[in-house]
Amino acid sequence: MRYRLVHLNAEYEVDIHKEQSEFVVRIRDKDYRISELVVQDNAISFRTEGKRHSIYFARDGEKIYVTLDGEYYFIELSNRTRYGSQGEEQQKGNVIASSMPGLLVKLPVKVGDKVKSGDTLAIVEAMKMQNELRSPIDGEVKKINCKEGEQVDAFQTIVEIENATIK
Amino acid sequence: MFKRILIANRGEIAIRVAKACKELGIITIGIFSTADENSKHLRYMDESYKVGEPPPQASYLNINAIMAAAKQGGAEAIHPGYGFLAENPRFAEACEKTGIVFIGPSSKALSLVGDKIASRSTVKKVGVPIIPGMQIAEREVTSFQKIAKQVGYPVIVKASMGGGGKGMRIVRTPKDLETSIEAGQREAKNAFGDETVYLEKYIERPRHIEFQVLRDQDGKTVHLFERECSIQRRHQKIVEETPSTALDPELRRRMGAAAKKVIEASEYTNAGTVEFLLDENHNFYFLEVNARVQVEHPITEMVTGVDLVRQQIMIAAGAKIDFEQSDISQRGHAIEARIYAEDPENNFLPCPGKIVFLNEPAGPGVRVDSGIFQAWDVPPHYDPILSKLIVWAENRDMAIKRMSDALNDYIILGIKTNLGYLKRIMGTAKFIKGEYHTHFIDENESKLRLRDSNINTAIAAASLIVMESKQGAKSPVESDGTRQPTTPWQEIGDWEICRR
Repeated sequence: MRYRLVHLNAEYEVDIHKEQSEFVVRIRDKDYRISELVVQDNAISFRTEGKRHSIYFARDGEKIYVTLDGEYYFIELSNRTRYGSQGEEQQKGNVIASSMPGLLVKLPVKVGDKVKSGDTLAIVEAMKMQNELRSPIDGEVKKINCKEGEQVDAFQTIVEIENATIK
Repeated sequence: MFKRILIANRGEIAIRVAKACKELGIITIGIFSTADENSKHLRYMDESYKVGEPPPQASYLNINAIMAAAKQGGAEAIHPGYGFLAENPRFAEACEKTGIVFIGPSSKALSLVGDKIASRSTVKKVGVPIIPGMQIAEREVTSFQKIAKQVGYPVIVKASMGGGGKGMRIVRTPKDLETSIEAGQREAKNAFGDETVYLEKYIERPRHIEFQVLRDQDGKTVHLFERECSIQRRHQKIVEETPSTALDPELRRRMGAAAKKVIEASEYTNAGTVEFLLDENHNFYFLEVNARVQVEHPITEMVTGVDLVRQQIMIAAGAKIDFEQSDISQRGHAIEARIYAEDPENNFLPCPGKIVFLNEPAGPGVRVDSGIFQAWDVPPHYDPILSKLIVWAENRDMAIKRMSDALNDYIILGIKTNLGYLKRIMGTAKFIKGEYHTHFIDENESKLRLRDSNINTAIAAASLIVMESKQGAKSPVESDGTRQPTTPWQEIGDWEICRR
């Protein structure tokens, strides 16, 4: 079986097959032999590379939450259209998205406004913390997708900026 | 003693206060916003009143609605917890006017210690050292420039009504002073409705050490030793411990005496915390008084054996402190870690959402002050604190080990939390040695980053979990929190469908 998993924006191609009583999990060309696999309620345990791991997990659709040695991993089954493309757009610098779910408390720009790199485009508030979204480039506000006072999701695009035209 | 107390808060602290009330045989009256109709603290209340919509201004900061609930519930006293209205003189005054006891200092003492500039001059008068800087609020940029030159750069611009790092600006060169004052004023105005800022010398690499003090209405004052709170992110504490590794008995004695002087000079009653900065040469300076029960109060309870919330209620009811300073000693070592719904890998941004699986640690010397439960949807409107993990052990090394193991056992799935990050702090050489200061998080950034070494194992685990559920077995706990019938022990290798 093959899966494509995403953790912290990095994609992992995984191939699992069975050999006798063990599973072989291939991740980025490295094989991990998994033995003594036990699944119990919300816990999974197995031995690999000489070490036994006890892991708590929960699954919510595409999202898989995993604990391992006191660390927490939020892993998603890859869905390229949703994650991949948005990540890329954000890097292009003209799409301003909230990095957390929260309340859009300020939206001081309107379509057509000229903005400079570093200008505040929106302020999202959650849990007493205000996150200021600033323009990464000089340009013009092309599109606004939300209204002040609205609840926004993480990764939801709020403002789109068009690059300043080069003379 | 009071018969009925209204607890004007939510989350773990409302539960903590309710437990102290119940032990004293007091009926608890709770309040909630419409976002908290299903919150855990309500389980600990004998009756509860809805005080408004989710935004804090409409509910937990809504003095009129809370006073109305207190009247309706027949409350004789109000415990404000921490945050929200805990240090609001207008709230204390509203209580005083209606004849309800505010469990905390008087509105007058609250106003005094809440004003950073006024409390600096009060404290200076009684001979407690303060950080060199302004004595009175000034507006002219020239006077800021003059004082900055006197005390020497770097300096820090602070909001007079401030807290939590809001309105604070560190200035290293004279040319940045004016813009920093303006930025500080803007931020202070937004956060506290008062744009007054002042200037102090900036202490490099300080340790944040605070002393817990109790003072009864007859003026008897005792301190319950220190808490070291230097591990901070965004000027907010995340790990606290007591005793501090930075104090020797002599310095501890001097700081304890200074803390008592501050409380007495402010005519302060009830529980209060006197915060100090300790510089690299072991000089201490008064910072401010926190006029409330602190988030980190449990570590003091663990090493002194004194129940601070119980003391707050007793003192407010007019009881005398029935022990002497010489009765109080520090036994063993305690550490607290604050569990936040936030993402340390993304600038500690808050992460509200649904908790799909929860397992809280227990065991010798382990205390969990928690405001959460499995299947609860953490609302986005309030502080991201979920719970506090407190450990006690005979000595510091054992306490660190115990904290590390307890963090391992603390499982919160469905939302991002700082649990893994806290465990990394416990494993940092500087923390283990006790050699740290308030810039610990910044200076140890690379050591505190999520290590890559285990990621492939985690990915392997996730893919095995996906494979398992693809075979038709559902995760026993669904995202809406309902439990499927428990699956028996299952060896995946035995499954028919897995054979290729």
